[in-house]
Amino acid sequence: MKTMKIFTLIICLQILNFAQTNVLAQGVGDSAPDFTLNTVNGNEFTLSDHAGKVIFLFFFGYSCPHCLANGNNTETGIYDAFKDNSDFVALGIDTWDGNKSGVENFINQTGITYPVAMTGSSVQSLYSTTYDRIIVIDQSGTIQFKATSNATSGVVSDAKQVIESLLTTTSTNVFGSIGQSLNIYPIPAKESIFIENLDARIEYANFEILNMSGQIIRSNNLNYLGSGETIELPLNELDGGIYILRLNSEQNTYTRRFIVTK
Amino acid sequence: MNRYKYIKLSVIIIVFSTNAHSQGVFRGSNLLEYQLGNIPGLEPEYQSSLYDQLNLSYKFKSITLQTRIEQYYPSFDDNKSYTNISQYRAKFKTEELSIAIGNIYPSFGRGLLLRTYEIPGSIWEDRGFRVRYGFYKDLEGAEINYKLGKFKIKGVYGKVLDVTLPPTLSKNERRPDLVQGAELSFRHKKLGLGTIFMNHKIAENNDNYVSTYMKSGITKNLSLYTELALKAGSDAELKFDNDSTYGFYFSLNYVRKRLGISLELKDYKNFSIGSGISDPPTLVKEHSYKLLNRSTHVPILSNERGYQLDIYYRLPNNNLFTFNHSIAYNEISESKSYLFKEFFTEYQTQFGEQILANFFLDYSSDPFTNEDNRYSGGFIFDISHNKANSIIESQIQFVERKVIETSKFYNFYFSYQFNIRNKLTTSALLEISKDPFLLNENEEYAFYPGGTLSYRPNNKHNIIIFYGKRRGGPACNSGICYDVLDFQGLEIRILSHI
Repeated sequence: MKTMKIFTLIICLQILNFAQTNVLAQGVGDSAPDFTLNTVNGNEFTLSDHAGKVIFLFFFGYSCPHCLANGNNTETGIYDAFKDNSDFVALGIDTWDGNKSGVENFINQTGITYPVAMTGSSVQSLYSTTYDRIIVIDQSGTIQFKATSNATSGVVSDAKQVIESLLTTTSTNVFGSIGQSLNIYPIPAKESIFIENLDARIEYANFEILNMSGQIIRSNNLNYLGSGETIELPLNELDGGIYILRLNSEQNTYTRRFIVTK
Repeated sequence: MNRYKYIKLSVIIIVFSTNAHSQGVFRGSNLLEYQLGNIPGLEPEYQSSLYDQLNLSYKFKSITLQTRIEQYYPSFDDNKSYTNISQYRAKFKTEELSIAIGNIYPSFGRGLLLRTYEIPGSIWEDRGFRVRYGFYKDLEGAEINYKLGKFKIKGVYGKVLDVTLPPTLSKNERRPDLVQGAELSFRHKKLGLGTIFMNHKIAENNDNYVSTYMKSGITKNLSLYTELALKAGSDAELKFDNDSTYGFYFSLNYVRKRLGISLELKDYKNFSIGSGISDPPTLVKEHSYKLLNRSTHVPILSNERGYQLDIYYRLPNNNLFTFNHSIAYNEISESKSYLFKEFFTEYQTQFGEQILANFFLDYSSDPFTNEDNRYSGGFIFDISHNKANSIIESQIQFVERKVIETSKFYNFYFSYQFNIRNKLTTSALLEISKDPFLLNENEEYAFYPGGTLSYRPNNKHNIIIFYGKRRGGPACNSGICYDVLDFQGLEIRILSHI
């Protein structure tokens, strides 16, 4: 009995002592963290150098079997489709920090022809992802697609749709200056979310709510949203979770993440 | 502290407090590991970290309560430290009914659709996150099993953990797969039949799977198991080509007196489910020999078919002959296909009364990893002394790998272990490799010397101290393959049972 009490006490002390240290993950709607890596060919790749373009990232481990199997999907399903578009950039990132010989073997086996960066383990951590995963960043430097499963042909197909959609959108935004003219509240939202325009009148405003995979859940079109005006978007049919609000206007594309609680 | 943690905390405190006067059984274990060192080549050369895993369980009649508390404190980055109640579980079990809620380890059939697992005593660490945590892939949810005569039904609901993501990330990130399913099975004498329905949600993908299996003891010596799992739904057609989604597994086992034969077949197409919740049989021998284990073929669930044949024959006087052959064929794309093959043979024999010896030879061809030819051989001698024993183990592997040009290299492993009455064990380890993937510029070979001291003062405690340089790389355990980081430095592990 004494032992039991001691362990009950230990559990209570352990529980009371624990701290909430979770780091907020980089998800869809967040700004893509900048990084610089060296590629196998000896060049330097800095993400922010490619602002204004759609950026495709493939995280892999140079000897990870699933990555070896799926790498070819990214070449045939993504890079072959968009490589001639000057607004598109692709980069493979070895997160297992293999040496040049190991990464060259990966390239050789998968048939990848787009640039591949080495020693990218720190970038994996920066993006809160793992190996055999795909991330797509839009022209404004916002993550628009973040896969939660291996880069199979199905996932590649989903990423391709997002890239296609982004390449048809023109944005004049640059890194770090997104969404500053809108006040979105309440966050977290429950029944509705309100968007207040703090800036100049927005012409032809198209509001979209996207889920964390980048798929459009609902869309609202307005001829304009005047300066100081507020619109309400009902959220009745949405489950609790994290969503993206995207505003496509004549002038700009804004993206903002928000939370729905039920 | 968020609402859910508060609820969990309250439940645990209430449950443990209210049972304080009951006559239940407490059990516990603790794993503590201290490291002073780093991945070789990384700066600083020496940095320290402490990982601790405390497991507690309380059993009273039909009810079992369990919890796991994990802590990690590295010296190098406060953002990587955590203290978490990483698991909690409550289970009620009678002869007919069992209900479990919390962090559980359910599976369906042979794991074609769902398999959760734990590699006990293993600590996962990823090069990107550098956070250490227990190596388990559990499901947070509920499982119910009910037996009614010859029928048994199982229901499972919950979110599966993606073990590659550390506990410093949010639960939503770490548990992207939602699974809900049921398995109905029937058993009559030696015949067993079962059917499974599983719904799987990840992001906006919502898919249904069905599976059916049969197991049978055809004769006293011969038994079989076969399972076919498919993606169901309006867009799914019943066909078996490279574009279909299905998994097929078949095994036949024959055991008679000294002879055992096993034949298994597999055919997996587009069967990588979600973040990796499916884990069908691998049909590749999982070797205990270090070098061979590191070369284990990992099934490519998007496209793989093949077979495995395993034969053993027991001879008198502790002699045992084993033969294993496996084939795996992958069509990765229209222009890329690979054929893996392996032949393994092992002979165990006794020399006098004091020496038990194992010899093995292995040949494999793995073009998927560009290793067209791998030749391996080695031995283990277990020598008994008075109240002690020595184990000498040596393995060598020659590899031909063609990336742009063919490179030939070898891997070498040697260990000597001395045990005294199972209380004190010392061992010396040495690995040498000329694998170009492991070598730094201008380096001719990679050298991994190390030593281990293990002391077991009683049945409840074990202290293991390692010092040296340890080679990481792929490792496979219980059908699960993962990547282990290299380590150089001092490691102290203390295992305790309460």
